[in-house]
Amino acid sequence: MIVTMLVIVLALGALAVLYFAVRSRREQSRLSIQPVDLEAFRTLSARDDEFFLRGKLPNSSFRRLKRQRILVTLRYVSRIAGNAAVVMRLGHEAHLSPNPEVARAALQITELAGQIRLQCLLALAKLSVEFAVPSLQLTPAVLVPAYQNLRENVMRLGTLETQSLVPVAI
Amino acid sequence: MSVQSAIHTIFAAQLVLLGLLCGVLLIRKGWKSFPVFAAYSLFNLISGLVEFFIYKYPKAYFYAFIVIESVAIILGLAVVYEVFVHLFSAQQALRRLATWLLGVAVLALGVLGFIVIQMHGVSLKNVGAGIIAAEEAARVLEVGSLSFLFVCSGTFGLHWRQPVFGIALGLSVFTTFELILIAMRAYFGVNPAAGLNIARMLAFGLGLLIWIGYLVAPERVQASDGIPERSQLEQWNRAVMELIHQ
Repeated sequence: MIVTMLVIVLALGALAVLYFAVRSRREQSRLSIQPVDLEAFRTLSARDDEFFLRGKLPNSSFRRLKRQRILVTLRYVSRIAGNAAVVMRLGHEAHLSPNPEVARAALQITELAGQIRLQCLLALAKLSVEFAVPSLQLTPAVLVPAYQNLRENVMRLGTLETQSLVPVAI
Repeated sequence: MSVQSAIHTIFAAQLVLLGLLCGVLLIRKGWKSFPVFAAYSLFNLISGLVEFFIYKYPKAYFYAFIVIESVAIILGLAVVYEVFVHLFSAQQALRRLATWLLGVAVLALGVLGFIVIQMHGVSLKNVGAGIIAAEEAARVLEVGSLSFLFVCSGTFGLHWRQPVFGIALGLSVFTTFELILIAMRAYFGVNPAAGLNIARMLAFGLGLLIWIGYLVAPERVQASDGIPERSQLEQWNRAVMELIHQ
């Protein structure tokens, strides 16, 4: 009886996953690139003043302030993650282009968008932990390997010849 | 219409749909992009015809059923892997991580399958129950792997091409209903009620319709804002990188 129930629960969970997959595919096709104010994002994510605020403000005020800040940052990161998904979709379509240069460039951009998406997931995880425990500040060392990986990726892209994408028929 | 004739009618319709699916794969050259799925479809068609001709001979049917189900499950798992390869074809970095995650998921599902077999208390004396338990465990693995692919693609924001999505969706629909029915059969006994047989056939028929539909329907061209320039992408990348590095 327990096994049957367990298996049926697993199957029902799979059906729920299917439902959300069909719905999200339909929604994904309607998503478009949202503007991101990178300067504001950088200002928001700069934490130089955190030690100062921690020393000056009472604990409860500091926690509230940090959580508010994290919530806004989360929105920015989610937007970048969403944009990365849109770019991945567009790049995926363009990489089937008969023009080999377009296909190659699209592939590179898709790869980079995938990297950004992955980094966003890491950032979201890190921010979520900090939201739960505001006094915690995750050390860079935890994410150094990921950071180095990404830096190498950007450097590799930098060495590629600069070419802008021509309009792609998709 | 008697239950038996209903089963015959659905079975015949299933064979027609399988023939249609194989035809679509052949005409649209789908076998080039999806060789494993094409082999899976062809195998189902041939095995369906074999079953159709030998179902009157219980002993032969029993052995044929074991072989056919085993091969179909292995091919089904291979189709899942083919879907995985297509899904991550343009994503080398994500593919490495996803391969690792898929390995862990398959391992966990394998353990779950083993637990299912153990909890059924299968013995060598009861071959029928043993087959059902093994089939249930294999379907747990198949359904779990497919669900993992859908969850993974959502998390990574991957884009599903229409035929790939159709193959995964059709296989998921069939295997999920199959899993529910096998679990019920394991609970109620080896000799299934006719209703369970009909439900299984209808689930496979639904899967076939999804496969044919997604393979035949033209892929929708989506309105796009155009791909952003690489410099813009690098800017996003750098901003996120800075955030992570803090």
